[in-house]
Amino acid sequence: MKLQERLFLSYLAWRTRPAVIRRHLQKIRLPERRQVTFPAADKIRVAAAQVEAKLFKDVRAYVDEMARIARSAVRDGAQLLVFPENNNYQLLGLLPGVDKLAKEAKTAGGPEKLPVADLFRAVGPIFLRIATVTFSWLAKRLGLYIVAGSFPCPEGGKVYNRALLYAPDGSLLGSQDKVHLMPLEISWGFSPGKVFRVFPAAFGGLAAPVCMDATYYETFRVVAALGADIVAVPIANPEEYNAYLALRGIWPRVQETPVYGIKSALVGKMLGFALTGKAGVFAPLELTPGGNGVLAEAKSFDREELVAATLDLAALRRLRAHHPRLMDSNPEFMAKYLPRLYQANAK
Amino acid sequence: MRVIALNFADADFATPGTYREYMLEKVSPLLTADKTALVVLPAHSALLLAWSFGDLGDVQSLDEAVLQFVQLSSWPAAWYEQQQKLARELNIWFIPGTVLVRENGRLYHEAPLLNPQGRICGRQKQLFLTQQEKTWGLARGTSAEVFATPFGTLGIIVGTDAWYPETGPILALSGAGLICHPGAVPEENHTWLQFAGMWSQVQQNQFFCVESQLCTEIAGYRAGGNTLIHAPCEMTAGSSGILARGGQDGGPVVAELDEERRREVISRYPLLKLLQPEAYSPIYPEKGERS
Repeated sequence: MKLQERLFLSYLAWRTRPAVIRRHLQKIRLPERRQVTFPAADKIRVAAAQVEAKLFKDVRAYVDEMARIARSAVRDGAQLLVFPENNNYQLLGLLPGVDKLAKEAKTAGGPEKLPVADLFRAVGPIFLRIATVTFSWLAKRLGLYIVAGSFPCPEGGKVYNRALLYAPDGSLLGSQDKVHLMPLEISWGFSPGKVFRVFPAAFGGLAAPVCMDATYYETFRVVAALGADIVAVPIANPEEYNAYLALRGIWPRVQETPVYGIKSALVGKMLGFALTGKAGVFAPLELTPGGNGVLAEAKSFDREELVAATLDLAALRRLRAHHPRLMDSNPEFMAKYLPRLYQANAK
Repeated sequence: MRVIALNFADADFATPGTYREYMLEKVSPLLTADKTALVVLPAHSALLLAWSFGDLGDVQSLDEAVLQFVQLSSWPAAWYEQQQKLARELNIWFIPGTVLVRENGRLYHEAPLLNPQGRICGRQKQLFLTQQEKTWGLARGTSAEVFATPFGTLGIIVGTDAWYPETGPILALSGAGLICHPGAVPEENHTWLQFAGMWSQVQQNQFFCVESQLCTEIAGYRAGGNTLIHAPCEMTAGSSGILARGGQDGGPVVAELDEERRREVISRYPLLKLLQPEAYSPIYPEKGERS
């Protein structure tokens, strides 16, 4: 690493040091910490954040934004809040000349030419520390489960797109690397995760596969098999909004594998990308009043919003136990084809 | 390649003759001498015919109709014979819906594929069962077959298997580019049930699907889904994933499938190539079953 780069990173680390963030967080007016309780009815109020992508030149502005959203969620009664994928790309604003990088990518042959993994190998640890301090503090201060969204995370020379989950005591509940990468992320040099995880929360099992992971039914089958009741899916989708295209992720997955689904979205324009999506809370058709599988959904696809809904986990468990259409299994059939067909396809 | 689906919304089958006339009237005008066509009928077509002909007696529910049908041991063979004749007469590739058949003492729900010579190229048995189907005493099939046809490699997803997402990827990974789906969803809330079924399977697996949904009554059970011809969103108007749809008037639903375009969509975004099977081990049967 050149001396100039080393000095810049040291400067960036100092400007965004935990003491600065904590001091700033303490100044923000937030509701009193609540005791997180889950009554016998097994109901939990959840919120999904639709965050507008914007570049911040000061880490305190980023912290303000996250705290403001968390405050709104708590005021709405939320006990679990989900932030979107790539929920620290906003911090790229701390890097001088980053907007030029996006323009250069256009002339160099498209966004896939951007050296994104290299960029996060350098600044990833600093950005990750900002997220860790911010979301851990907010979770503890507000007594809230938080899926902080996902963050590019360098580790062992590779860069993963990693979701972080925090418990109401501020501890890290766990992390989930994105397993199915978009072709764009592959061209950027990201590496896929290898396993799905489910984390025990007071209300039940919580999983947080990332964005394109929800394209595949296998993801939800796996996390349900591991005990997930609620599956949070942070997204940052770089495509023009279309209701049918948007329907292809979490909605069908929740219908195939009965769980509750929470989709959070990073939206708006950033560094030459137009991100769209509608944050929402989804449930099996049988558990939604309109029979449409949607408990709450953002009205817009490109502006900040917060949506919330109450999930009845006891009703979910009853449905699973007596589902009229689903929950059958056919191990003889499955064993005949899997994993053989997957292995043949990979060759 | 031309595919045609019928939903029987306007059908009134009093006798085998009226069924034949109906089929000739609906399908013949859509056929051309130079092009072969594939025709798909909805699920429980054999049951519908037996009920419509009065062979099931005075049954008051779908459950009673099924129980009565399975007592008529000669019916499946007669039904097969009639469909084979129709395939020959119309010179079509034909999936004539579904039938309940006994095999080795077990009762299966299956759909056959017939070629224009009336030969049975294969049969696909339903693989997963709903609670209601379990009460009928149905057994599960154990294979998902694919068939070489002029329309490419073809697979069949029978009835309520549409809601089991295991079926589509196994057929797609076996080479199927076209899925035929005889269905019989209830009229109530059918739109969302259908989005959760073949629409979702098509979008994950990027194949075509001819979905023929029964749109009439059998012994008080009112089936009323939309008959649809699906394709990946990227190659359909408004990205809806639907190439053609049929309403409640009983008119045939017809589409020309553009295989080259489908392959272009896949080459731009090869979903099956992006699978990560290493992460799926918790659902492989040998390592632990889903409850």
